[in-house]
Amino acid sequence: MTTPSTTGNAPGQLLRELLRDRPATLSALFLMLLIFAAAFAPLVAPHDPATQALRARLDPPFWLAGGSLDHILGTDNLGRDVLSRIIYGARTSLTVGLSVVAIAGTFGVTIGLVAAYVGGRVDSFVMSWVDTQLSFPDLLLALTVLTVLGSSPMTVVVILSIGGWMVFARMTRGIVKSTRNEGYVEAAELVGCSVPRIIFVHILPNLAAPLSTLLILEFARIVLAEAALSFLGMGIQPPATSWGLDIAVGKDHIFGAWWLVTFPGAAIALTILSANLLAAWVRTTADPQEREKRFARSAAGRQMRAARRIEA
Amino acid sequence: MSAPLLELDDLVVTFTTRRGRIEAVRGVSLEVRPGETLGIVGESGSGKSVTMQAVMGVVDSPGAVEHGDVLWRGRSLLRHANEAEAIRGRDIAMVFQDAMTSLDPLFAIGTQIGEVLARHRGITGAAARARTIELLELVGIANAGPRLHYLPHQFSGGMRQRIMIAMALAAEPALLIADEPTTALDVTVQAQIVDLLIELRDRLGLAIVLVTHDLGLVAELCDRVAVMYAGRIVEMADVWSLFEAPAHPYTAGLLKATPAIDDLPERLETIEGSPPDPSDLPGGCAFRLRCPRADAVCATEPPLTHPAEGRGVLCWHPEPLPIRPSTETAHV
Amino acid sequence: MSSADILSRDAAPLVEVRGLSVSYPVPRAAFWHRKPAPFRAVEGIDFSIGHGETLGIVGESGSGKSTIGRALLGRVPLSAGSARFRGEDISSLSGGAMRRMRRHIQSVMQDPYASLNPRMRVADIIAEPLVVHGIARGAEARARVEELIGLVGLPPDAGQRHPGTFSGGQRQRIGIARALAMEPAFIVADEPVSALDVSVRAQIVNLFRDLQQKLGVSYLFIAHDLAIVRHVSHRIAVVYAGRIVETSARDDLYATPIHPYTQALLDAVPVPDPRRRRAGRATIRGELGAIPSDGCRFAPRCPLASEQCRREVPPLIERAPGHLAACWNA
Repeated sequence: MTTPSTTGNAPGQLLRELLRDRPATLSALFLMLLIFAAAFAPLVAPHDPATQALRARLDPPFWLAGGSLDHILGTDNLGRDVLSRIIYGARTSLTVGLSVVAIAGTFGVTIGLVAAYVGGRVDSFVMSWVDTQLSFPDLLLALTVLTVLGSSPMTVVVILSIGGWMVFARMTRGIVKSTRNEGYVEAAELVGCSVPRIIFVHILPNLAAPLSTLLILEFARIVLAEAALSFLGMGIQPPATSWGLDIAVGKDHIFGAWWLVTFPGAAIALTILSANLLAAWVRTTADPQEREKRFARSAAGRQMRAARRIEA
Repeated sequence: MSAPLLELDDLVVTFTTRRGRIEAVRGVSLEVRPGETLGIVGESGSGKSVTMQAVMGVVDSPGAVEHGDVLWRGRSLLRHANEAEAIRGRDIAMVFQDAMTSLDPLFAIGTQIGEVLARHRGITGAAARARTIELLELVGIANAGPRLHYLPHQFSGGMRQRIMIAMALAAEPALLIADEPTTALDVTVQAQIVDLLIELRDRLGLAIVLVTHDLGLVAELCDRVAVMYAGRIVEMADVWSLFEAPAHPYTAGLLKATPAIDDLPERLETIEGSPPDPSDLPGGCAFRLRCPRADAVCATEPPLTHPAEGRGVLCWHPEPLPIRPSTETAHV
Repeated sequence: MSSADILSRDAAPLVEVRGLSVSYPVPRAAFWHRKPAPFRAVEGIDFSIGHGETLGIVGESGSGKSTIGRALLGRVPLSAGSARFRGEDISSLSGGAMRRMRRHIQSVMQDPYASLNPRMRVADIIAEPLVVHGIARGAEARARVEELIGLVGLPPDAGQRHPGTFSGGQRQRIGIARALAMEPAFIVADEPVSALDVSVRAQIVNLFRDLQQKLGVSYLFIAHDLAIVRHVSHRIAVVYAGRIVETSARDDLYATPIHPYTQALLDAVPVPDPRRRRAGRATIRGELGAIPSDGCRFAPRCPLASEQCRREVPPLIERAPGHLAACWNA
């Protein structure tokens, strides 16, 4: 049965789809805010995150007694501004997150593509390699390596990438393999298309939506992983800032100065939540059936049904 | 004439989609009497399957019944949800097109049939097992005992369809709705299933609603036929009259476009254009853009007329037409 | 070679198949089991197709009819026998030679919804063969695409749209246009109308006929519907469990069927005329199950089966001019 595809500009359409899903819209806004803050940290942050102000140690957030608008979210045990540390921490998290996802993603997708298309023993070998690597507990391995080699942002990115490419490979392989069986791929082969053409023109576009979802989810996971490593002291080292580091520092003051742990923790939680909600939106948007169901539940859908009942 | 078992009263089913409100079923009224076989013929976009889904209460979001009613022995199924639960599956049973996807692949067939027996007739245990074997024998699966624990994929396509029919009959329904029951089967197996349905109908006094696009099947099995187009019934007649002298141009066109096994190998007569897209219907008579008889008046909704007893046509220009000019075969 | 050459009907057939067999290796259940015998999907297939001619191949699921088509398209290797196109053996071609052959042998597939890339515009889909084989590009390709769109009866603006905006019948027309782009001499059509609505099937069958008359293209028309096949074929071959059981000129098959399976197929199809309804259309029981290792493959279901049938495979021999059947007892 015919399903006419909607014509019109794609970006405008995407925006409309986004607005239909309120949680996703809020998530997108939050992430954009985060990116903005991270990119323009020096301009946005009220203070230098490393500056210590020993007289203003452990100041509470401004709405509590003893707080001031000078340090909106308070200060830590060395008098450093919490808000500024969060903003600069965003920079760390985003940098690490995006770098790892870019490296692991590129490597993983390539490997998956080769395995799926060449097939046979190459495929079996690659998949065994993936399974083997997946069986190693990634954080534990990371900790070990970082202890031995010493940690630096670069090392953190490398070690997290090494542990992060497998899921991309698996997904790519799965999609390429199943797309190869699609009628239009077979038709392209029967027409006489070359292998590169089939891969790039017919198969890879199917990867766009699932890959986007996976990239977002992996980004969230890496942010959490980096925070965990930094919390354990094996990730980002002072004087650099990281949300995980702040939590590590703040945990000793959790009863007296709760804001030291709460705000970085909230930052991590909100980032991951937003990423997950946005990924869910991407996944639903890419699937026409799910998209229709979402529309039916949305305000526009309800309006449509209400209008008819009045007519009837 | 006995009271009807199933009545559809001006049923309207719509889907709320991003492209707008789509009316899949636009006011369908029909009735099924005890023991009769009603055929519902239509192509894609006709709304025939959605109509039956509405009867069984399985219209999935974003679709919903917006107007009209479904009555079982005079009681509304749509207004009395609890009663409807009991009736659907027990008094009305449904058989689908593809048994491989309709049977649960994880459970043994004995278990699946047993579930129906337990739920609708309260039969369990040894009695259920015995009845299950009886039912399978009824549908032509001999020596079912040792195979009760088999999974659906261990059976062939024709046997799976028989199993599905057995499941439907387990609750001893008065009405069986069969939605394209033979479309996915080979021609020789289809013939077996048709023979089975005829036998069951005669033996059990079942009423059957046969939803199909295959006019041959309709000619073989049905007493009365409703032809659907773009969500409406455009013609309703007894099977003899429909094939001999169809009144609606769509019915006539469909008959001409259906090749018979003993046709002469000429060019087939066709209906211009394509089956309708429910989201993009022309105003007035939905068939007018493809109709050889259409004119200006067809731009408004056609009236429902009754040219004879038991016949209904939704057309401005209904006329009986000869089906095959001058090469009519005599009685066989 | 252009279609002009094709229209000059020379005596040599366009496609000639002798003893074509395709077997698939069967994986064994465990490494200590003996390797099972390969599954003989298709065995000993003989036929030839002339220029501008259609051979209809009719069979049910599991008959191997699709496998025959796939073998001719080079999608599966032959385990025995030969397939020749214009005298040249196409059964074992290298990559480059295979691609060159695809200019002359094209296909139309069953599923109009799956066989077109939903992301490409129709014009690009139809033009792809031209681009890939370097036959035409740019304005020349566009002109050819417009020509093809008109030839298959699509609306002139079809090129700019995506397949998703078309109905099943129209999508199949797009597929046919794509198949015709390189002016092939031979098209393998595997169930091209089975997935379409009844009223649309007739249109597409007519289109196949018209194109054959206009362009002189030959078809291998694979179907399960005997009634449809009658309208498009010159000769028909009936296939059961991988072997041809009967083949004849079109009208002979329907007027005087010989093989019991053909008879069963003809009996089984319900006629769209209630005056001719009859119970007992199913004249053979059961379904295609395990293939017997010896003898006629139809014997388990055949009403005429005898001891000889179970021991020896009946040969396909000529029983009337141009009419061959493989049966000991019919």
